[in-house]
Amino acid sequence: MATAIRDVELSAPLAAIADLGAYSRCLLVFRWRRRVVGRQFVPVFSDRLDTGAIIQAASQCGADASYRWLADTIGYDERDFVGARPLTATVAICTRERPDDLSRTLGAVAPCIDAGHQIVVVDNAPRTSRTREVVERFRGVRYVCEPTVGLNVARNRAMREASTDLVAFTDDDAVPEAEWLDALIANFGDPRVLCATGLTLPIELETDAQELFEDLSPFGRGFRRRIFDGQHDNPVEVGRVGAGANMALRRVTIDLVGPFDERLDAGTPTRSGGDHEMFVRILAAGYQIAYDPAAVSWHRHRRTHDELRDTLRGYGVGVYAMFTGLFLERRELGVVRLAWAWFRSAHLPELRRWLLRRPPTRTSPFILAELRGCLHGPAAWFTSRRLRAQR
Amino acid sequence: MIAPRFSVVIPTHDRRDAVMRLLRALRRQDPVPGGFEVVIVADGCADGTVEAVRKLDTGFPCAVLEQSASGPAAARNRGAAHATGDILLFLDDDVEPRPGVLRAHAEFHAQVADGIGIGYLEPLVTARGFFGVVLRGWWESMFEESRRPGHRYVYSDLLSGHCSLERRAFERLGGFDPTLRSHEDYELGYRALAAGMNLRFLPDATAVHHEASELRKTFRRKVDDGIADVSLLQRYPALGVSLPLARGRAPGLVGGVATHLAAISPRAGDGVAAGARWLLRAYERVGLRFRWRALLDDLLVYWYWRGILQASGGMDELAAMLRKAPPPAEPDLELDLARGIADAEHRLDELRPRSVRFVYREHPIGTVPERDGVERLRGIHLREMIVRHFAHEYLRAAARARAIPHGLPALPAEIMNASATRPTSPPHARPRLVV
Repeated sequence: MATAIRDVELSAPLAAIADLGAYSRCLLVFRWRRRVVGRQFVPVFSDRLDTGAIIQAASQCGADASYRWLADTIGYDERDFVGARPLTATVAICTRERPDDLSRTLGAVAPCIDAGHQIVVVDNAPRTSRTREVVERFRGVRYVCEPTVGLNVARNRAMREASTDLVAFTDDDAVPEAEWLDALIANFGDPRVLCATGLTLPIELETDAQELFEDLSPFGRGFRRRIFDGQHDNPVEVGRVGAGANMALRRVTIDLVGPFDERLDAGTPTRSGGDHEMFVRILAAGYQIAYDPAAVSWHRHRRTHDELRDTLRGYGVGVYAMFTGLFLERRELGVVRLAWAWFRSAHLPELRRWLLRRPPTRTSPFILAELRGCLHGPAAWFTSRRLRAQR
Repeated sequence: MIAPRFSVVIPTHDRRDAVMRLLRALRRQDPVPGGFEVVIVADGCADGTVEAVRKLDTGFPCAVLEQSASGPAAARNRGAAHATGDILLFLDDDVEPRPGVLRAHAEFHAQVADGIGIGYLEPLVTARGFFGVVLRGWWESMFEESRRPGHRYVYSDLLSGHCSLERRAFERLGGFDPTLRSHEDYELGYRALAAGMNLRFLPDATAVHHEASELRKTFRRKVDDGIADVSLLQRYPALGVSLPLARGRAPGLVGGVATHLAAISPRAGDGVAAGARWLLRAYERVGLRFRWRALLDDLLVYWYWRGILQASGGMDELAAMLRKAPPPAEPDLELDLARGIADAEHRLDELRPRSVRFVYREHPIGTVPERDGVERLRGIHLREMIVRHFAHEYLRAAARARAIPHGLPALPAEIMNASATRPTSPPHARPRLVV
């Protein structure tokens, strides 16, 4: 059965949560004065959750909630810097034939325009005019057609089209919260920060595939702000940094570390990894990436098992393709250890189960799909490189 | 002739092209009331700097003084003695000020009496590879703390490469100490803070810093840093605990071997350290970033200690110097944070104490001990201090005083039982792979 998702504002009087009859679990998202401080899955036995169960679940986020309370009480924001000037941003949405999702995303980010920011939709190799028609319904949103297929091609186009200090990327199947853009921008007070990423939560967990995705590959990276510093942190361990569905970059990033690698990510044989490869280059050049859970975006996960299997396989291909490129072109030996660690912790137990003909678990087919993707990754990188050279 | 508002003092040694670049950048400055003059002090220059500057049509008064090589501190003093402006702006010859630099310093001195404005040096590093990345990181990290609104200034925040102060104040302080080959700016910062001057970072005063250092030069500078730190310790024993030499970072394997050898024969120690540069190169060639970084840090520690031992005469002598540091005095102020942050800030601004004890009603939070070479406390320091040093203690004390709101979950054991505070950002846990 499905999982309900409900907000709990801890600074207001708690009330029981009703109308949960259709759900077997509830994902509680705890907030302190709007800021998300934790999340917890709780089982649902009747059609409601009483306050006792909510309080018990909230105890898991005691540390993060109390840090938030402390910062609020004394009026402290660790993102404040002397002389930080206001920055302008362009919200960039790279999309391809998903007019319904896009419409929802645009509806969520459209108010940014009134705050003086810009929005650009990059329509990547469109087959129909439906994306353009959606964009035309939103005042002030720019439409740009990028005929060359590839998510990283579209991202580079967005970086070139923008004239603002920052470019904030959201996926076309995500719904950022009202404070999302301001929260990302607030992280750029320090000139060393080239990129900021935010907290991504599931907007619905209505199907088994969506619940599986949340279990296997959660986007969330915790509830405390964190700086990843290329001077100290391992630049190839970027899985914990965030994802391209919720990130902002300084526009000068492409001058400092180069553009997004157009051989990677959706629309190419490598299928993903384009955002992470950019994170690696930012850190390897000694700059910083800020992860800030104040920048919340809600993501719609794939609804069917086939889509999920395909997505996870794509992740496997993309990550190992990225590893291949980093190893061969940038001599990043660390990827070997990383590839082994991932294989050993995630894939090896599943492979052993399959070889010993033990009964599969609920997640087995998907992890094996990811592993198949990983095995294909290096070949995909070479194919993608060849295709890019021919272009 | 009416004296200009600013005198820009530039010491230089055989960097003709850099000086030309700097003078051209000064020509592009936004106008400042009262204008400015430039005093260049050619410190043992043999590359035609003097002739080149004299030939240049600068568009502003520009004097060139010559002296035999005496070091940058002496050169700055000489330039300051020749200057006629109310405010001295010291710039190193390898910086290129952006157009708003003079304006930012002028606005600062119009607002803050007895101020020392420290400009931002935006690093433009020529070194490539791992060293280039690290070098840029070092420079940026120098301004990391100063950028925080609640930063409490320390003597080492003063950077002579880009700073300004009133000429009269500079004269009162007695100028830079020309006997120091390194850290002469820190030494001036110490005296300035002791005299009650106000150091401030000016983010709008940005000068591009063309940093051309390479590894060999960096090691040489580390030796000078060690020598200078011993000299600082001899003069100001109370500074002891704040100096890197008191923190006693031990060298790693290579540095350890080199240090032991150096005790018998300095030449042998230096030979090992010089040989280790081959290993550095090898690490970089195969992309072993963290091994490279660890070895670099190791060698930097070695060269720093070489300077310390050279200047102090040995570990026993150094220990004797460190023992001269007086014990810190008991705090002269207690602040009850339950009365509100604004109230506590106001008291700090009013009393400007050297140390303070924080409580939450009757529950202790913690003590900020007296430290030498640090500015007296101001209200603006308070929030930063609480969050970075007393977060857990504040939460514990507030919980015991029942001041935490009802809806907040109970404080977890990691906070209630912790003996020491961790900052709100989590410590860098061993990275886990999440793809």
